[in-house]
Amino acid sequence: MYESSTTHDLILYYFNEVELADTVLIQHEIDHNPETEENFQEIVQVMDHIDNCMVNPSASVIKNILNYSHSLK
Amino acid sequence: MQQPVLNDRELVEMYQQGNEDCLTVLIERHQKRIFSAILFLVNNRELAEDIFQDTFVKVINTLKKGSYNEEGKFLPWVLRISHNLVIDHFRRNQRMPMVHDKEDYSIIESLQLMDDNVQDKIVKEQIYKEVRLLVEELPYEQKEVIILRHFADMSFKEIADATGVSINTSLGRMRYALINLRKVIEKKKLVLAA
Repeated sequence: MYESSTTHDLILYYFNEVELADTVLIQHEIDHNPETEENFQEIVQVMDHIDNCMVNPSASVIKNILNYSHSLK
Repeated sequence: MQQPVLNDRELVEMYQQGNEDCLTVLIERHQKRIFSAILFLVNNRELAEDIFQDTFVKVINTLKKGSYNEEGKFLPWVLRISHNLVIDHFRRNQRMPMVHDKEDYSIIESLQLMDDNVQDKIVKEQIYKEVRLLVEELPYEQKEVIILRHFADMSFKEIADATGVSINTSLGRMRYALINLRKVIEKKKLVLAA
């Protein structure tokens, strides 16, 4: 699916860890190279999927935490 | 007139000044991200809830003592505490987490299916299947780098320092995590379509 060196660049780009000049170059590559665009979209989709899989703790745990905080007043 | 939304830093300051409601807001704002990060690592609901609770005990103690100094970075700070507690747990038990048997896996309980209406149950059952597929198939190091980078907003340099590996290794772990998650998502489509 991914080619190693460019994937590292795309990962850093996704997480806003590239210099401004490199940002322009990578964005240009994404915009004009279908394979790069596809690879970048795969990263975006995987991370979006993780966001969609988040769950809350139980209400009783939250209550315990708030009670603990109140007890220290 | 609509009240301005307080940022984390403001909420922390007000909490330290004695406004307990601010802690409730902070928890409501971040509980899903923090709990999910822990759950992804430990793959066990009860243990994740214990660590979530211990994390906030540490958070509360630190804030009440006035020794918090991570201005504007509340979430990454809390996630680092929870991550350290996960590491401590596995060090105490002298093993890193392995894939659980399907019968041992209790995340479905955390979704509290019995308390929901039918529509919520269907949605949560679907999320449950997706989470289960994610956590069962990723090696610990790959889950760790995703959580530290995506959930805790640590840079790859910070992750490298925190985990004792090079930046390139952290990036490589992320790359393999993405490859594996892509496979999981493809498999999920098959499972959910079945």
